Amino acid sequence: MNQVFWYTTRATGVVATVLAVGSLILGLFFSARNTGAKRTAAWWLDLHNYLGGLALAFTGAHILASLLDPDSGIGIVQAVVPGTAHATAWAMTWGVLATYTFCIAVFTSWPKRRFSRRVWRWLHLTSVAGVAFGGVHAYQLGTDATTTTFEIGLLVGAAFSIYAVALRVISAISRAMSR
Amino acid sequence: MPPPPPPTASRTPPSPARTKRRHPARSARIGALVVSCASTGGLGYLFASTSGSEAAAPAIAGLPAPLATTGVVTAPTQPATSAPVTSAATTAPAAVDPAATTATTSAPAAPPTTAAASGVFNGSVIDTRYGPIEVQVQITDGKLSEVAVLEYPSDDRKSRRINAEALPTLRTEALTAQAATVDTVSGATYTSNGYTQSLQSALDTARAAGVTVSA
Repeated sequence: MNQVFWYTTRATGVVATVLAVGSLILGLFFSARNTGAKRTAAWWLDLHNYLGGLALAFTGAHILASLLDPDSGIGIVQAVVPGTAHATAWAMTWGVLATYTFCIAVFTSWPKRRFSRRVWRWLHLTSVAGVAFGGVHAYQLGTDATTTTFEIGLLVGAAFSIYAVALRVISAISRAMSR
Repeated sequence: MPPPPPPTASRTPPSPARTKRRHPARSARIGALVVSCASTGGLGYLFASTSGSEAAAPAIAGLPAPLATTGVVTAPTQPATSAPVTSAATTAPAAVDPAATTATTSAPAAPPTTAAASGVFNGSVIDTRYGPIEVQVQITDGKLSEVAVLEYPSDDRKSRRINAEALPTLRTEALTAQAATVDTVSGATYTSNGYTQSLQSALDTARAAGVTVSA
C-alpha cells in the first residue's frame, strides 16, 4: 500500500510543478499585457488564478501522500518546518518554502482588495521565487529528476518562465519610461 | 487631449436576480483539471509499471567484482521488510573448502564443524523500493575478507550516483565491523537497509554451513 503513496507522491509532485509553471507563465504574460488578441485578458487572469489554486491543491496532495507513506521518513515537522529533514535537509527546505509561497500567492489573491496594490504585488511576486524553489526541490529530491523526460521538461519550463519574466520586466521598464 | 479610456474591468452593480458568474476560461479550467488528474493517474501507473524493470548494474569504483560465479551458497530471495533468513537448509549443498581461501572451484562437501573456515556466500536478494540489492561475502579463515555487490538499484542515474557513494562506504564499514551491523549512510537509507539485510542473510547462510566470522 505504501508503494501507492509513493507513486502518488511522485505523480502529484510532477503535476504540481507543471501547474505552477503554467500559472506563473500565464500570470506574467497577463501582467505584461501580452495576452494576444485571440483570448481576452480576463480569460488569461481566470486561468492563471485557477492553475495557481490547482497547483496548490496538488502540492497539498503531494505533501499528504508523502506523509502517508511510511517509508518516506517525512513527518509533520519535516513537512512544515524548513531544515528539519534529516538526510535531504536542503532539498526539503526548498519544497517547504515553495509551498509557503504558493499559499501566500493564492490566499492573498482572494482578499486582494484588503491589501494595498504595492503590498499585494510584492506578496504575489514571491510565487516567482516559489516556482524556482519548487524546481530546485524537484531536481534535488525527485526520483525522476535524472530521467531525460524530466530534464527536457525542466528545460522547456525554465525557458518559458525566463522568457515570461523577461517580457514582464521589459514591459514594466517601457511603461515606466513612457510616463 | 482625449479623456482617458474607461476601465475595462469595472464593477457591475449587483442585479436583483443575481446570476452565477461564468468564468471566462471555464472550458480551459475543466480541461486543466481533467488533464491534471489524468496525468497524475497516468504517471502513477507509469511509475508502478516501470518500477520492476531491471538493468545491468554498472561497476562501481572501490567495489570488487563478484567473487565467484560457481560453487557459492546462496540465501533465498526475500522482500526488504521481512526478517533476514537464518537458515540455509533449502539451498544447494555448501561449497566450503576449509583449506582454500575461496570456495569457487571446490566440490560440494559436508559442512565443516570447525569455526574458522573459508567460503563465498551470497546473501538474499532484498527488494527495496528502488530495486533489488544482493551482496556476496567472502570469509577467509574466520574473517570477513571481502564484500561484493552482485546487484543494486541502478535503473536511473540518481540511484547509480547515490549507490556509487554509499556502497563503498557500506563495504568499508562491514569489513571494519566484521558483521552486518553497519550504520545507515545518509541519503541512501533504502540501499543501507537492503545491504544490511542481504549481508546478514549471507552471514547466516555461512554460519549454517559451518563457516563463522570471529570478530
